[in-house]
Amino acid sequence: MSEEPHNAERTCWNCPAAKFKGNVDFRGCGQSRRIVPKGEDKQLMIECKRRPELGHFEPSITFEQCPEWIMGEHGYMLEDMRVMILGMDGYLGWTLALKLANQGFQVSGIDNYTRRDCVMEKGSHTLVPIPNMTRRLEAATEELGVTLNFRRMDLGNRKKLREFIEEVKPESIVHYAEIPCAPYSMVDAEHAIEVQRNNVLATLGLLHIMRDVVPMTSLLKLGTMGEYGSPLTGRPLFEGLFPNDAVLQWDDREWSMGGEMTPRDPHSFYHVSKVQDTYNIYEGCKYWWLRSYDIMQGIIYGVHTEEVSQHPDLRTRLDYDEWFGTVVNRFVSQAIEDIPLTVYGEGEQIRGMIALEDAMECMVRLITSPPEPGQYDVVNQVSGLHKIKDVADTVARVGNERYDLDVEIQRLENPRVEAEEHPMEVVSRKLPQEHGFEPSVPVEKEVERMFELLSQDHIKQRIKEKKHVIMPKTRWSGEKKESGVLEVYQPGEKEKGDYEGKLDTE
Amino acid sequence: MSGKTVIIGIDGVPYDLIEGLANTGEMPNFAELLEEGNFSKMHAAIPEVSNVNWSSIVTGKNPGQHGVFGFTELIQGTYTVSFPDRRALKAEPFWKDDKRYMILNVPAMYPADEIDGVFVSGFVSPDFEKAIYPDSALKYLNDIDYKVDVDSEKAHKSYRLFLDNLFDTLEKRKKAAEHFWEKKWDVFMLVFTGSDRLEHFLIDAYYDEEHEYHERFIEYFREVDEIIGDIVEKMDEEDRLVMMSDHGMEQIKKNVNVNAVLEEHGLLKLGDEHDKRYKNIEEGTKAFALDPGRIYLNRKDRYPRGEVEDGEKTLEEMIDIFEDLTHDGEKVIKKIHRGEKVYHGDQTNKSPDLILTPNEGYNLKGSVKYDSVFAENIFSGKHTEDDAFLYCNDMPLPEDPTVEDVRSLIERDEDE
Repeated sequence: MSEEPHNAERTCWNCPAAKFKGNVDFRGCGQSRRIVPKGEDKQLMIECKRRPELGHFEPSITFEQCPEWIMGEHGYMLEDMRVMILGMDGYLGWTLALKLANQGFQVSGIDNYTRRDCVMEKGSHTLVPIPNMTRRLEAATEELGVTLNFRRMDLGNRKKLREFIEEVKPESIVHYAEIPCAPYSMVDAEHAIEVQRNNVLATLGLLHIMRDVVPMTSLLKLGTMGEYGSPLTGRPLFEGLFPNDAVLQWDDREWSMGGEMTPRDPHSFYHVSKVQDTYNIYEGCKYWWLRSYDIMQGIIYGVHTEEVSQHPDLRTRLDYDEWFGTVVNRFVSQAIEDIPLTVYGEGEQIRGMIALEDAMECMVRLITSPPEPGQYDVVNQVSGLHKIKDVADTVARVGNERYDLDVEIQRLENPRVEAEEHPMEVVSRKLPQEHGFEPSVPVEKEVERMFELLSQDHIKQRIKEKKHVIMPKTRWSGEKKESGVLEVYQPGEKEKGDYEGKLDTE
Repeated sequence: MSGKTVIIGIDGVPYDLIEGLANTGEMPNFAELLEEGNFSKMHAAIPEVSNVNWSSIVTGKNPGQHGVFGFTELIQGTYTVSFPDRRALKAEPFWKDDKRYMILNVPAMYPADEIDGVFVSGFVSPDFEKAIYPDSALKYLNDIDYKVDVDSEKAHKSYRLFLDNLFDTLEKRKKAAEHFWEKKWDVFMLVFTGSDRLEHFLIDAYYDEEHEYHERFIEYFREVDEIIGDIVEKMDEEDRLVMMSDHGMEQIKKNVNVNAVLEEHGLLKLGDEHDKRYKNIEEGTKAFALDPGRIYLNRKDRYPRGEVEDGEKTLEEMIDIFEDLTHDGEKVIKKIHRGEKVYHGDQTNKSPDLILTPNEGYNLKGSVKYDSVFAENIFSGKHTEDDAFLYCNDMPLPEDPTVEDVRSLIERDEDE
């Protein structure tokens, strides 16, 4: 290997097998009382759950040195590491479960099929057919030779969840169990309340369970780049916390902002739920020394990973309706059904995006490089910035050139309240610099894979069946009214414009 | 039908000190025991550190067999310092059979063994709950506010505070011993460890009758003697009593930083002088020391930046260096042992390469933190190797006994 693995120098401080409890009195952030052994060298000592024969020792063994950390596909991995995925039946949860299990992780998970229910409630269905969980688990064993320890359960059921966590003792928890959708949260009061209840309260309960049962386990919580909004000042979207050299100037005075939370400017009640989670998790880390990566994921798209592509029954879901369909996924479906691609407003909105396969690699890297006790950290998980109208152009172009389609683009009245033209600078340094992540899937490549899969007859038929769920009818104003068409145009017709946003990775 | 066995340990008490206190009438119960039983000096383990000694006492094995070579260890393949405990012990202690045991406060035996009886770990026990087995014993000891060890940190603030804590700890130990004595058992083992703490900080007070704390020093041993008297009183005639300390103690003349010697001779390189730690050992290092005088070659096959393959030349160089080390014209090192010669057993491959035994009054230190070879600190007493004591009421003692011989007195033949 030419370069050192990204997590080679991480130490026991990061390892979930290190037992700080009982060795350190975690009373609260900044007030911990170190219990030191009676000896000359006074320093913090820990025990290891996996290597109890070591007794007490300094938490300084590196992953490279520790025999429990073995070389995996993306750096060192804790042998047979136990990862629990909350929301395992979802688009990301299922994909990650297969990827982890295939790499030798011990994967467990829960789901109450909320996503299936919500999509059905809105009269839609997943474009890529997926079997029920029983068959999914069976297929995972048949095709990949892995077993997934799944339980049907609502994340909000604290008694059952606690019991499962006590039983499995996960060493990492990936939290994908939230209702993931801005338009769905804007349908009406009932939907807004349900999204916030499900997301905020269940996560708050989870934090309490982690405090009591698995305080050393890292929580990888899915946030969204939408938490930050798109500030018109053009100030960079840092990774959750201000960098050390950030300074606030006012009234001829200056303050260091290093380490403080950056402003959030969510733009739907769903995004607000994610912001509330951010603060709850931050507090959990502060009060109880929990550890978390809050993952501000860009807009996710795509259908491919090595595992889900191996068998039709291993496929992950793909939504294309106005509520749950993310923009690229929606565009490709529209292209196949010969619906002009629906760009909201000017289409100058710039968004961070990432392909499914790249996002999953980021997750593996973060799972195997856990934060330190008490550390709340944020990563901006994006692989590129794109204007919505440029994405429409790319999808249309690929469809027209490679699949002999005749795709047009339509601008619609924007059902959302958002800036349609704005500066955008996203800082995403941690994944490439600290976790060794390099994006490998350009938009065009994944779009091609999507056309390949979605052009199959039985899938095309599914788009036809649910054509009526694609056009937006949910307005932020509360009105239920289909958006009017502002303009229809051919791909390549529009000038690209000079400004493209800035992704700061170095 | 053979009797029961009672074992009383007094950590760190030298033969001369306890004999002296018996002779002067300060420990009348012990004096009475001496009249009938067998009493001898005993050798500690090499090195003469409590956790090594107690590991040898309870297993009857040498460090090459039980695998505990000191209070600290570097974890295989790293420069990470560990504090080995019960879980590092590679030989079975005597309580691993079907008898019923009360094992109270044996050092280095943390976490508690789940035995038929009661197990209370001695120092170092970071988590009280894991130091006690079973739960009923934990509940009782919690109720009486039992302490596994005296809080030595207090001595750094005030001797008075430290002594109050010492006597309080002893009182709780007495209470616990009385409580567990009433349970059903075949072997009862109780270790006093405050003695070691007291001597480390205040052995000067014993030799100096004018010392502010001379009287309280003696008082501690009077109280220990009282507890011994109470126990002996309750024993039956056929019961066996074995008593011992695990090492001796003498006054410190000077602390000697072994790593500073190695650094001075270019054998140890520690890089950042503000962060002197083992994990910062740099390339070019030939050897380093761990407490008290254990020297390890920085072997290529054992450490991340190890480079020594055939260490014989380095060993000879170090032997010369330490043989020549003097302070005020006095030789510092009395004897240099080679690990392969003093240890035997399947753990010998983990042993130090050289073990230094100092001359009287020189306290060897293995920390990497200090720059100067000779230094002073708050402690007044240091361990000694050749004057622990051993006592047995009804059996002749082995000639010139060592800590490894104790187990043969504890394990009684059924037909005895």
